[in-house]
Amino acid sequence: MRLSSRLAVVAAAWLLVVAFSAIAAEVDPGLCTLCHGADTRGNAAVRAPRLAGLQPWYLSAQIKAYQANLRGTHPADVPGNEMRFIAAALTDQAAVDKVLSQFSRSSPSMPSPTIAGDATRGEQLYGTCAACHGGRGEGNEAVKAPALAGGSDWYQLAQLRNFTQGLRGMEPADLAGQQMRAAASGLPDAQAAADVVAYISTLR
Amino acid sequence: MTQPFSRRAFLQLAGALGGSAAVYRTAYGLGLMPAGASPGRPDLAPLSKAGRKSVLILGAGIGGLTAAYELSRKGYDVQVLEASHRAGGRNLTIRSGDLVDEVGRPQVCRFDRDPDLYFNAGPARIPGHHTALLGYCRELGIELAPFINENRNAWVQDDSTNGGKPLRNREYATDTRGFVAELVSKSIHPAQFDADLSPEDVARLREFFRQFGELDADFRYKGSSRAGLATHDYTSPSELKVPASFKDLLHSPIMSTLNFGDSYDQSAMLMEPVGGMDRIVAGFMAKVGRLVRTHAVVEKITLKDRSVEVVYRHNGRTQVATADYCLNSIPSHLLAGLEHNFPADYATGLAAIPRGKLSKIGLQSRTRFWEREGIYGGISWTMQDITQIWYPAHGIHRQKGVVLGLYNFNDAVGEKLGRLTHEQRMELALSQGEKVHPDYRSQIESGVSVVWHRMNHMLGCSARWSEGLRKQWYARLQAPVGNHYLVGDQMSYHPGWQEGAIHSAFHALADIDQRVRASQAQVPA
Repeated sequence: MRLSSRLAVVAAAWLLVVAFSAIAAEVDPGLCTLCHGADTRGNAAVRAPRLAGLQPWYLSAQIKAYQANLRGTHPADVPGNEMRFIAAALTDQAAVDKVLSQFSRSSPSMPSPTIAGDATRGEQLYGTCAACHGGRGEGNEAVKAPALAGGSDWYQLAQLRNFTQGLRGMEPADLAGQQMRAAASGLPDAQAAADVVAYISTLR
Repeated sequence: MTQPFSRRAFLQLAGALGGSAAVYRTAYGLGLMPAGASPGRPDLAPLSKAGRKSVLILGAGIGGLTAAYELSRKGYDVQVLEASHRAGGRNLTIRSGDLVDEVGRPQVCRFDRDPDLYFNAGPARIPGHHTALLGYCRELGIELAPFINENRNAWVQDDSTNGGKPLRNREYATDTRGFVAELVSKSIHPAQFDADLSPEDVARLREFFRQFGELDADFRYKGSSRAGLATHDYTSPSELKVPASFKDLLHSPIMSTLNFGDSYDQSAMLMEPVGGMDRIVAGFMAKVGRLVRTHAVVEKITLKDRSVEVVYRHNGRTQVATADYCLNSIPSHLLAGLEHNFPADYATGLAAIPRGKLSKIGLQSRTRFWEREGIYGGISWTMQDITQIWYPAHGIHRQKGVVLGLYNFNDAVGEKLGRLTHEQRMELALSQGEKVHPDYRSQIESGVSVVWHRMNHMLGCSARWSEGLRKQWYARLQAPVGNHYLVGDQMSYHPGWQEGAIHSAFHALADIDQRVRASQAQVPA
């Protein structure tokens, strides 16, 4: 009798732990939309890109890159640092994936272009990008290239700059980032980056 | 013969035609209000049951609470949606057990549970000319005490001055004044002035500077008791401190702090609520708390022909609220990320206004060691990231106290603090504070860091309007779009001060009042 009541206490405690971890496993989507905007449409005012439409594998890989200090460590990458701290708090992978898949399905209105560039010149330059990111900017998981079509153009331009200036893709363990850093350095100048982003804005 | 209009009757008519803003302007023109008065509280026309109007207020900061209080008293149906777990906005007092809701890095305050152990993480001072806020303090029964901003006994410290050792504020201030006075009094020549100065005038001017710097009979500065005495045995002759070298003072960056306390908003007399700045929030909440819904996160704002519809999340469920008018104090840079049907240029303006990156760290000390150094309230300055150390003017001579161990208003330092963990911020506060108070580290028991640009539902401190942004966007964003008004301290020329938030609310309320009066005038009685 005494033993069984002890067992009951242990069982109850175990159930409590399970219940509590089930609660803890929820990630409040508000943590993401605070910066990334309603339906993760993106908010340039706080330098948070659009997540809607990005594939879950890519979002998940970026969270892991932030967690492993492969991204967002350079002091000049202020929004990257901010995201790295948020990522550090997202310890339950399953719960994170659940929220991410929710975002990839949401379809807020498409962003309007904010970058002035020569899309015709950009189309020629994009030929190199298409090898990995696809002719329509649809992305390719096999080579770890995210979709570009429908993304925040100001963010894509900022990332091209981050790759070329050594704010992203400098960690040896970040293979995809290193690859992209090499590719970005193939763009002849800052105008070329703006042009290619202007072209990407036309992709659907 | 008709009766001539009395002033009172005229004002009533002006009110009926133009609303309270018109009454204010008219009264001002007639000389019934003192010049330089701040905008009065709008005299909203009370609404009858039949003519009720609804107002949805987004954000329960000081601006939103002011609006809720004024509107609900005059028969408006008011609902306030607040995204965070608490009302008050940046009016935030932190005590034992309080949650500091930093995004991804929440902290819980570990101060002892004691009514004197708190600090104001947001606004902390009320200047005597902030009459609107002081008026609410009077009306809501909020007890006030003088706030001590400048304390000549507090320290100034810089690595390049006095071998890095702190100086009393009064030493630096007095020696600087003395040397400047000596220099000026030596170099005064009548020929330097456009106006004719007689030899007597020049003598008077030199005498002015002699008194200004407490110079000797030969107009030389050789130290002054204003800098404090070297000894304090009052049974013996007093001994002056040896002045610092003028060159050292000239080269010291401390100079930049000297006139801080002279500005309009920083000079005496300043006030603070007894028990913490959030007593003001509590005062408003006692009146309108029933109208405030916390944890209500706005997702979508739709302007309609004669109303505004707001979609928000509350406890995981989507809710819809519609009202005749909407007063919105959501920070403009977060509002820019919501779903809305604002005009395109208005939306561009919302995203254009940057925010300050201010921070504060509160530290609980096991003794009030600063009082043994003759410091009762006020601020020490150091040319390090922590910038200032504030000493509480409440709880004097009790065992413990909470000092403000960092008050940063430099954005680059703010970003650096944002990159640090709370523990790293604490280490920064202790290692830098040690240069001001050598025994600092052993005194501090626990601390709380508030980095405003990382706080949930805020992501920034006050709006940073440049002159160019003012010209481009202020009027556009201040004017209503449909029945939607952007309010809060962000929509004032005094961002970062509660008075700015209140004036912004007054401005919007006066406009709504005018529209409501006009619409009711069209309805036949």
